[in-house]
Amino acid sequence: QTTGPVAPPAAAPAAVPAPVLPQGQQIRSITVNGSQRIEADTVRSYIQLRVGDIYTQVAADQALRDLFETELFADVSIRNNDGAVVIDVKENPVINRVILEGNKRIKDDKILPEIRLSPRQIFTRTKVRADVARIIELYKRQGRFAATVEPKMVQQDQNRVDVVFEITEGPKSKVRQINILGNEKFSDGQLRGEMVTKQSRFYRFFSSGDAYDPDKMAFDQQKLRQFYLTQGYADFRVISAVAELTPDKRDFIITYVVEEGERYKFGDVAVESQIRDFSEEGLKAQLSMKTGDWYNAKLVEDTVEQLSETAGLFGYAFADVRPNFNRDRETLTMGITFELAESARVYVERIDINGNTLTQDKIIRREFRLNEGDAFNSFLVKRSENRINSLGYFQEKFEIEQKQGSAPDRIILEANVEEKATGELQLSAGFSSIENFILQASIRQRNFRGKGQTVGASVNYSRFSQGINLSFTEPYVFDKNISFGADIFRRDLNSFNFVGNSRNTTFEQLTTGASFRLGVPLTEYVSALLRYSLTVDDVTLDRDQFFSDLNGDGTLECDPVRAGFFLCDNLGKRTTSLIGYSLIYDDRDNRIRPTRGQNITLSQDFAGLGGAVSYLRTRLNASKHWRIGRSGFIFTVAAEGGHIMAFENRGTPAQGIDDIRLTDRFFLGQPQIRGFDIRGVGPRVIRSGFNPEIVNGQIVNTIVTERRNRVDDALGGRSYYLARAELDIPLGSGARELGLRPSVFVDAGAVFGVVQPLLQTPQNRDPVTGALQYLTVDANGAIAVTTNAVNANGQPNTPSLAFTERFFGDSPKPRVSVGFGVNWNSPFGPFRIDIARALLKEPGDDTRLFTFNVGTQF
Amino acid sequence: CAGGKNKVNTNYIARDVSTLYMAAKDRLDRGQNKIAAELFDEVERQHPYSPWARRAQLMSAFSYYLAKDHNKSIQSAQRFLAIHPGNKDAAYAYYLISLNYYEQISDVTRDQKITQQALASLGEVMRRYPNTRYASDARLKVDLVNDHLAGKEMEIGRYYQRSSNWLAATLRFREVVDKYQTTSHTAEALYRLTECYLALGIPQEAKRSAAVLGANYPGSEWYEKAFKLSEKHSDLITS
Amino acid sequence: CGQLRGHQGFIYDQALAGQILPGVDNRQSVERTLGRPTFTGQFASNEWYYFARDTRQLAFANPRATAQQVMRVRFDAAGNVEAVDYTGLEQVANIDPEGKKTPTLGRNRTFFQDLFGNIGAVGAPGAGGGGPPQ
Repeated sequence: QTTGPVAPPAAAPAAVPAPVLPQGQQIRSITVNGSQRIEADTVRSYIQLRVGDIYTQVAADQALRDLFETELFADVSIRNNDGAVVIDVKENPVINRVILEGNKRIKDDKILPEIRLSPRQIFTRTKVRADVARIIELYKRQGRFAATVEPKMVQQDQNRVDVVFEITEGPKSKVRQINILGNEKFSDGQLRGEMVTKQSRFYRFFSSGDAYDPDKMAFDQQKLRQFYLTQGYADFRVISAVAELTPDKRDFIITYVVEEGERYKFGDVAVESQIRDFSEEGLKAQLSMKTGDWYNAKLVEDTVEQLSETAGLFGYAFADVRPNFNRDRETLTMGITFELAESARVYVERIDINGNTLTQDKIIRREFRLNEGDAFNSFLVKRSENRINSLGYFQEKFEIEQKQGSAPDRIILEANVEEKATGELQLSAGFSSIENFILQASIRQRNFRGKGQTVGASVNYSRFSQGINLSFTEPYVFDKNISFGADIFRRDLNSFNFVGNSRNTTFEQLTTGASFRLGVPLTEYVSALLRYSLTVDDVTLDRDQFFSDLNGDGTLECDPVRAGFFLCDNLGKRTTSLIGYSLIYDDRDNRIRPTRGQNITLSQDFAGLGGAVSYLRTRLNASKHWRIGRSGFIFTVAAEGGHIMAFENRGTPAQGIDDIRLTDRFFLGQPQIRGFDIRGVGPRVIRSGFNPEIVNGQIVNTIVTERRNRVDDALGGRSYYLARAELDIPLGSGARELGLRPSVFVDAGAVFGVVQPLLQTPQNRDPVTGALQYLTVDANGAIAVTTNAVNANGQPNTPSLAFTERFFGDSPKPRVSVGFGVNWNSPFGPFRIDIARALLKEPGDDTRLFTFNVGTQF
Repeated sequence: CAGGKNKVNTNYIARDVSTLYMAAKDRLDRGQNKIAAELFDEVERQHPYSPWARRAQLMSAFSYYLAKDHNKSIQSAQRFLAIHPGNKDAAYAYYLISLNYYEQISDVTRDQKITQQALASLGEVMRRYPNTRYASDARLKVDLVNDHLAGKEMEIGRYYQRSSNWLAATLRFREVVDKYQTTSHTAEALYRLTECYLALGIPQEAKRSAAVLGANYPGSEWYEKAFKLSEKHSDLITS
Repeated sequence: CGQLRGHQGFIYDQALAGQILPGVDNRQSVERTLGRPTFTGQFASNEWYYFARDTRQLAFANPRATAQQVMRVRFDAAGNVEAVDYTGLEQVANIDPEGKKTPTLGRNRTFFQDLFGNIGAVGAPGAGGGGPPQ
């Protein structure tokens, strides 16, 4: 007979039917009582006994075992009174609630998902024991080895039960002392540096490195062995590793006893290759160790990896490289022959992409550099991995997995991706030295509709500028490798100054425009970008404040005295129609957080395709990244430079007019060069007032110097250069989980080359009569304003001056700043703090020590 | 600013089973499926041994399904099956699980893991309860799911064609012809193979594919296209 | 600007390929020397094809075939090699794939669901995207 519906997995049907003992008792009926929740025929379905079988003690025991295995029953008994088999069952209670008490260090929402007991499930003793062990394990991982868990059952009505776990966490057991015996060649401190477990010291309150953990101790022994092997001590052995409790039972003392043995040198090194087209000499040249060098296990490992990678390059995915050592104790040398085992060339059978619940399949597939049917090539696979990582849609450590195909020489490549949030909501706020507040909000979806398109809208509002920018980018137009991008923007840039503490808008520039980009790859690493942009600029000045009737013809014109020449010459509406190209060489391994490779970009923009403005702007920037050894330090060097050549003649230097308009010039400051204010570097006009003083009887106009109440208008320049060296410092695992990435940097740069505008030091006029005003010493020795140019005894009075304009900063001499910054993936988004001090600066530059930027990623 | 716990505070108000069950039923009829499901769960939690409990488990699975909370619905159904495998409603529970997976099938350009799970659970229903009305509906849905999987292979094959990887495209379309013969894509796959073999420079295989297409799908538009194509390249084909 | 050179399919080893002779070799010996074929005849499994093609790709255009070698090995009923022939580029046709495609079912996602589709919980730094809200 069939055993009816398949029992739930817990109850495995008895494999072999019990031998039938001739008991002669035929089963006439099977009745089940005591079952409340579980129906009788469900109970019958679990056991082998059937009406009509011969009742035997063995079959009954088997039935008992089956029923207990289902974990549904607390107690089962089978009675047979001459054929009528009765099964008494007492069901396990159902769990009503699971309560945790006494868990201060680990919260409920951390423990509950880990344990198997949950409301409405069936209560079994085995599950409770498993959960107790599970909770103790959680505490062990936190270094609390003295934690104990006491499960308690609270009986409820209707055979329900509440499970209460009473947890006593106990103190955190730390490692107070690590001592190492038997090491002569290396000091204890040096060896302790290699280990993961640290000695508990007051300054280590933050890190969990000093918590005692037996698994970490085993790992430490391995690290010790690895360290000695890389130093050439092939015979190194850890004789014993013991951890005893301190007398006060709170902490541990770990003692290692080691035997270093002798230091080995490399014997003769050879390569034996059984793969057809691999010449031994070619490979031998690749070996990084030579006979006579100090033995180093790490080099051997790297060579094995390198050889298998080279084999991969030629399509042998599964070539296995085996180093076999012959150790010579007398001469203390270690001879190594690398054997390349014969393996057939492998072809890619299928490329499967899994986990892409949002991204379309082709977006990932088109990044593959090899296709189905092609020979396996580990370099192309690595290249594909880098390209998929550069998309920035997937998890951090994405790798392409290799699975065995349907035939020995077939391989299946699997890209198992986990999508991360590719939408970015960026809110950033900045403080600049003149106490103004900048708020920038932008929303951007980098994987729009899963088609790899980027759609962005950003609004920024600050006291300097308000603007909106909509952008769209499609990296693969018609599935071809052409990327197309379009931006529509409208910016209202107004700069203002403070006279006293009233803010007045000196000038307002309204720019509306659109730009289009077309990107084309030329070779694997070189690509070209064409762009066209059409912008309309409208620069206006605050009429009643800066305009006055200069030549009495009744029309108001821009009054240079009030507005300054460099502002007057910028007024008006103009269209700029600009076409430009960029040549980009980029072989960085990851565009978002590069650790290796370089990027060189040359771009030129020609404005003058129609429109009023015409100039040629050339820019070159290059950056190179190194990963220093295996240590995780990443060193970046970047350099930038640019120059603008004007093609229109807007005025002569004598008139103080530069051929390039203020808005088209280069500016330099925060954030390109840190340690300086926004547009804080480069040529500027500083307009500062006077406070006249009497110096030994004479009135002298001394210039006000504090920064607070002087006016500083950056003019920008025609050429600029900027250099940056930055070192990213890797932190311990603890900080890395927090996403802390500190770096130290040096910035240097300058912007220069602009025609000096006419500077003025106008004299005050009597507001009523318009006559010039002078200063004299009045009767009781105070300074008084008068309108006659000569004082009582015939000497000329000192003129009363409104302000003076001075021109600073137009020099190519580098401004240098040094500082450090921290990138932190804080709970509410990427957070960047920069603290930088300007070491070298020109008079007139505005410095700023501290800036921060916070954005949230969604 | 995640949504606060606005769940109706149903946990642990001890009420007798029939009022609780009726409250849940009424919520379900009023279309508030989520709350109905939670109330059914409460029935089971407070009165696990009442005959209502078994009914409530199924109803909670059904309510979660209506509320489109597929994962919870699957969990409730699986819990029902763990305790009542022999029950007469077990077939419905298996069927409900397969429906949940079936509802979540995403379009062909995305990951098809859910489709595989749907296929497995539909197969389960057909294998366990072959002669129930659930099984006949499951058989129909299995064909649709296979059709969907074949659609994904076709999508990838067409992508390879568009980027001129004719060899990769051929391997994909052969996969469709070999593994998904009964689906609606086979005709197109055979036509695509004709295109691919011509582009690969193996006209005799193209001729064979067109012949098989003609034999099995004489009336289909794909055969017309294949015929026109082989006419166009008749110089290669005849050799 | 240099063109991107690529290779599709089987990697030929002329010395080995030359050794396959009709009447001498059979399925096992061919497989031992050359390995499994790129694909077999779909409806005539006694034909093995070894397909290799060199391509060149100018910037963003599709890869163009520049050189090709297709080796066809035909076996007789007993599995011995009956004939071996090679074809090159001469039989390659220029195909523009058909636009029409058989419709498939499956829920595709509305416009707004895409735009705000995978917002992780605010505050979880770069948390997993999570499926589109059901």
